[in-house]
Amino acid sequence: MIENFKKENIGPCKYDFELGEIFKHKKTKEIIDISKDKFPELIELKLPYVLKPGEYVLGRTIEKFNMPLELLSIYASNSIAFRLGMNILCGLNDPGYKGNAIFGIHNISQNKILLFRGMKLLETAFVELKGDATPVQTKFMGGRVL
Amino acid sequence: MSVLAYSELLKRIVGIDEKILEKPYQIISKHNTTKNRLAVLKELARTEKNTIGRLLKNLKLNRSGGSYLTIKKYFLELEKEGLLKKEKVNKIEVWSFSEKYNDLKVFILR
Repeated sequence: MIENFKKENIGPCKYDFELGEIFKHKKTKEIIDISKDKFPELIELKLPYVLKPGEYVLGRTIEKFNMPLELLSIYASNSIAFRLGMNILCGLNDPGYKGNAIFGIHNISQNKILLFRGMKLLETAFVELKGDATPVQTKFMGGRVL
Repeated sequence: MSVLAYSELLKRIVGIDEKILEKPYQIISKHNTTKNRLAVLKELARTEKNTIGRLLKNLKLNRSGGSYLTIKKYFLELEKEGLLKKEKVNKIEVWSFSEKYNDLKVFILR
């Protein structure tokens, strides 16, 4: 179900993810318009990285999912993230998804925060579904950031 | 709709049934398993079969008479409980986990 997992990251009813890579949007003068398939370009940043106040990056977990069809995974921010002043933007992980989890990291504090490999910012609970789900079809399959 | 809790996560992610681990855990806790002793057990699980001296050496722990004998006594207690087994290879005692408690070995390693 999860590749590259660590047994100690299994909690009472959740799993804590570890930060593996981070990416930043390349600044552009063009308008981002996803209806015209216009996505911002990404730059991979090296970890450890100092996240400045107001800065936003995308994170990719070390762990990889292989979601069975009877489960849904709900992401949430790890408490350390909001304690430090980071807003973690995340959503759901559909049944049938294969790949890393992608999430947003926004420094809403007034301080610089060090991001490092293995940092636990995201957690997930697995919910067993009632009825039959269809496997998700997404262009972000396989942990594609954009 | 229900949320998976620890034992179910352990089963699905690690592939281990927690109930199977209850007995070996009881045995381990009964015999005063210290941090060093657990490290030696982990090293034994990692190397499959080994002598006590080699395990201590791998972990860079003290291999003097006292430390060696303490681990040997501990291993003999676990052998009596059926958790470990020893065999003699050219007069050298080689230790390993018994097949019955293979799940514990997998759990310790992961």
